[in-house]
Amino acid sequence: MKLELNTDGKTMTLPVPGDLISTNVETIRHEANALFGTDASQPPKWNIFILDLNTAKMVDSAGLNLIVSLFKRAQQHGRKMQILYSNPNILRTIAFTRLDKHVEMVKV
Amino acid sequence: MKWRKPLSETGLLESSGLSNDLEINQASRVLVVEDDRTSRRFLQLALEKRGYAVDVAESVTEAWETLSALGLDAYDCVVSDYRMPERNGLELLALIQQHNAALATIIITAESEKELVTESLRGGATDFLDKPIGLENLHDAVASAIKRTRRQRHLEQSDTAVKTVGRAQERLLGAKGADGAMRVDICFYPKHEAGGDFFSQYQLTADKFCGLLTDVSGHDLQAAYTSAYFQGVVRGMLERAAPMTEIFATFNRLLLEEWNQVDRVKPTTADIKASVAACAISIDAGTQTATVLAQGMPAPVYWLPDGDAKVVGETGGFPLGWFPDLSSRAVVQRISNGGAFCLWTDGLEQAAEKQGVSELSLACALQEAKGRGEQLAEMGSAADDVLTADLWISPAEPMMETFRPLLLEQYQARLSSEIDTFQAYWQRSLRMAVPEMPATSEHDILLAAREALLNALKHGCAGRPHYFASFQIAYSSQRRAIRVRVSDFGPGHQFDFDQHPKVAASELPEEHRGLLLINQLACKVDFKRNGASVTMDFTW
Repeated sequence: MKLELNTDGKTMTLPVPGDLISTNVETIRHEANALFGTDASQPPKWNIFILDLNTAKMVDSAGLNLIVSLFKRAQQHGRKMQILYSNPNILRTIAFTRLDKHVEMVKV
Repeated sequence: MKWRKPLSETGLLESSGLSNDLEINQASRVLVVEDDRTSRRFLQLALEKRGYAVDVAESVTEAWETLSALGLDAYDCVVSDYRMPERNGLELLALIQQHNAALATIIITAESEKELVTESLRGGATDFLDKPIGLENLHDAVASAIKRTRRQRHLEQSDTAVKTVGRAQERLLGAKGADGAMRVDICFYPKHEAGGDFFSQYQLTADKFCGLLTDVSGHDLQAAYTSAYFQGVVRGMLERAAPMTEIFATFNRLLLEEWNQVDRVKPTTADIKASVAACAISIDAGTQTATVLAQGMPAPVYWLPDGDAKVVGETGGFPLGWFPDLSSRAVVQRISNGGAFCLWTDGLEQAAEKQGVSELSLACALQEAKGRGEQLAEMGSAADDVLTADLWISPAEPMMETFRPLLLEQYQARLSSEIDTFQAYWQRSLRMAVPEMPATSEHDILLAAREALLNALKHGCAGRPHYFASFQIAYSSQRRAIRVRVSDFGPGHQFDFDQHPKVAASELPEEHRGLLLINQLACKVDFKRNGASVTMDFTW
């Protein structure tokens, strides 16, 4: 996993290798912590946080909980969040719990 | 054709002093094929002097007429020159190979025809002889060629006998009892021509039946014979109303004392020549019970029409014929709600392990393939005979309507971190049994099953690592439906399905989305014991 800040500095992408599930969610949370920084008073330099689930086929409840957590942190700083996905089951799962009302879902 | 009597019949051998080899040689007939008259005569006399019956031919055409007249089986060896007018010795060799490959052929080559040696051997020749031919070389080559012919013919006869037994076994497999009141669906994938995998059923009285699955060690005629012998003992003792425990004990004693001759004081497995793994299910329709006894055999799975399944009896142990004291005990199962038993030999376990799937899913795939009139392609790589039997309690039951188990597992709480491995196993098993399942359905089943099991291991087992949750997946082909059951022994947890989705969507709590997912993914969800047991149905 490698955090990617785009060239204009407006978006930060966290690519998830494979599924977002209970067995890898803590690793991804650790990466995300680096993304948001330790100082809660310092807003991130980017405007949009992108969680790249392009290669994921499954997101379980632990993965959904992480998405909620990341969304809340982005929201705290007045930032937006997008999720990139290609497998329709990712959108279905996120829509089941109505998270798609909060996070922009972008099909790639 | 030139027919000549062997010298032994002319009385010329009495003074030769070669009587030691004669008994063997007199029964052997050799055809010498040589266009040169002197060489032909030399070969004939040399071989006749050793007691062989020798026929001679001047050409390939004449040789083939000679062989055809008496039949190739009448000869034990052909000695043929390579270089002859019209057709050569290799052409005769090809004819013999085509019609009777067991008949050994020796090709005679000249010193300048060395390259023919390789070609001759590749074409099936047993040996070759260089010209000029030494007597000792000739005798050695013919003697070993005759031995080879006889060995090959013996093997062919054995092979034919084994195949005949194998065909008889397949015909008899699962032959119905007196009136066939017990329905049995059998799938048999033999890897050998004959063996000891067998299912037989017996009707004892109007309401008592018995099904017996056996797996004898070995895959040869002895195994087939042992199996047949066991079936006979069982039938005889059942007719005298002997209980299955007594039948197993009796056959165990027969194997130990008569077949394996094991020292009762110091029994070892070193002298075991025959052993029998067996599983018997005795059904009493009057008392609505089934008595299961498995010895050295996987314990059967009993399932109800709604797919709820359990293993009945004790798996493993040692087969009959190893030790004087049997390890297994009979287990009684109530069968008042109908359903079926599924039994299998260990060949299925090996095949399932090779495929990385559950035995039940493979058994289901075998039955589904049989229903389509097909053979399951995956069984081509099976290492052993595979025999499965579905034994239905209520023959009139609409069997396709029922859910049959595909997975029947128990997971300890300490293994929750292995959930990805479990899920991959479920996925392979589902794909084995239900290859036509849509990808979306597969995703929903796996995700819901994952959530339910993790919930059971985390909350139901209350952090106790050795507590376990039971996990079942069942399939109904008629309904095109999968049923997942997950249960734990915890107290359960109250959950408000009306309010929680709204709260989760608006207040975004960072927990408790598993049950929401389950409720959305499954077509139907049924919670029991305050949620400690959940049943989820998926259709497509």
